[in-house]
Amino acid sequence: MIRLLIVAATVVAALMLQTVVGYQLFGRLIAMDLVLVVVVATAMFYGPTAGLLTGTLAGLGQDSLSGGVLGVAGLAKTLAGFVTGVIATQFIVSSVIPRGVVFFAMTWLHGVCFLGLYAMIERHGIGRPWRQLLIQSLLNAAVGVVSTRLIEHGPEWWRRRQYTRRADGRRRAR
Amino acid sequence: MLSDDRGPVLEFQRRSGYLLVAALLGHLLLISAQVSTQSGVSVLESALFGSLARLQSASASMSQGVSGTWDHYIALRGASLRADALQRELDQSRIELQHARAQARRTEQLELILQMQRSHLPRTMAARVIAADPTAAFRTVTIDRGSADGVRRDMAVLSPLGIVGRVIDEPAAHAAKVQLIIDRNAGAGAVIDRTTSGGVVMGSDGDPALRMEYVSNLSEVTLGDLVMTSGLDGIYPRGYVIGRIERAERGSGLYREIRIRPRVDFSSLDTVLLVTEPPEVPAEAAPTPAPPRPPDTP
Repeated sequence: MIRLLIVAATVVAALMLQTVVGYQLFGRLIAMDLVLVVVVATAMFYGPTAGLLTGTLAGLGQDSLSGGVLGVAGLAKTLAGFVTGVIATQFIVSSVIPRGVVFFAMTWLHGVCFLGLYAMIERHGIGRPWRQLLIQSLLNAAVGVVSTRLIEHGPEWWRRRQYTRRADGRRRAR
Repeated sequence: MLSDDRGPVLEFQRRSGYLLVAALLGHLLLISAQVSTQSGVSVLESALFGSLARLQSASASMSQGVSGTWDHYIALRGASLRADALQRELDQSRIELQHARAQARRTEQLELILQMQRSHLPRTMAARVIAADPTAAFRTVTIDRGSADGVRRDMAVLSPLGIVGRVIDEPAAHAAKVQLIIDRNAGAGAVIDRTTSGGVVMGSDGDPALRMEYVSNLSEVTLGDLVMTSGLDGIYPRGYVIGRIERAERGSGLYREIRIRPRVDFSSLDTVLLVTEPPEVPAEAAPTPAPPRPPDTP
């Protein structure tokens, strides 16, 4: 239950960062897809079912705030979440490079799915913004790797820091 | 033995496979329901938009509080110099305003003489932009006014510099989505101010972000010409600035290929004005092609 709440809060925080803070601080949309990063990270940690459910809900939330068709980002993120979950259960993706590759590949999978669906729905489609997609996938990979590392090693680092501080304090007191 | 050990794993995989198929089917049904019907926005979309827009509004207030504290208390260096410069600018503008008023009075008299139809300022309502579109593919923003404030679908949205866009979808109680004029599905009836050649301005993904269609190759077009709204689309009031022509080439067919640099800076929108009354369609309206429909009404 706590995990579920944490994932939901992270998805909402990513959505707000993406739409509100990014726009107000940088004056335009930030190039990365933070919601996708959260979906892929959730799938990596908790498996395909959690990945696809997070992808569905996060994508629908993103669609409802967007000017596009409801369900397109939802479908693309569901697929990305599920595939990441399957990959994470079949392969070891705990080191930096495989993890970065997964974030990179999932951004492409999401992008191709998103653009493909719009090519079918709209007469002219969105076009082929491959350069934007490349930049987005590189940024997503960087942010994804750093944030997942922080989630895994952050608490341990904090505990060690607290312990070292206490030990230093005791040494000084002596 | 092996099959006994793998049983739960296979069962789990099968279950998540079923879930995936169900989720994908659900999404496809949702998409096809929106694409195939002519009716408005689905209940799910409006409920989701309403609740998430409230969160966006709260996040925007927090974020603006932080940046406001910085801007109004910490980053005040050179504020008095800026204030002096602005005061000088204001004085100059007041003089110009007096001159403009005098000219307007003369024009008004001339109009009365010529019995021309006088256009009046449309009634507007201010709104704050609280968020941008979460996907880079669409150019929409969310504003903090909704149906409870009298916002309706297709209301024109302006800024002091020119037109911004229009309200799309059914607004939530305290939020609404605005499709910017630079969105590739947006359009507006337009006219080149100097020559009065009419056409349709549409958003595009390129740079500059606007293009003008249906202007004849025979029309005289000069770089830097001002493009205004014609009021023929029934959404935007007449005579508001869209932008200036930056590129104009002879097209291969009947029409010119014109690119327009919008006057409004869409990356720094803060407060916008919603036109609360429908614009008057000019009586001398010549037939102009309608702007493209948004994606939600195929």
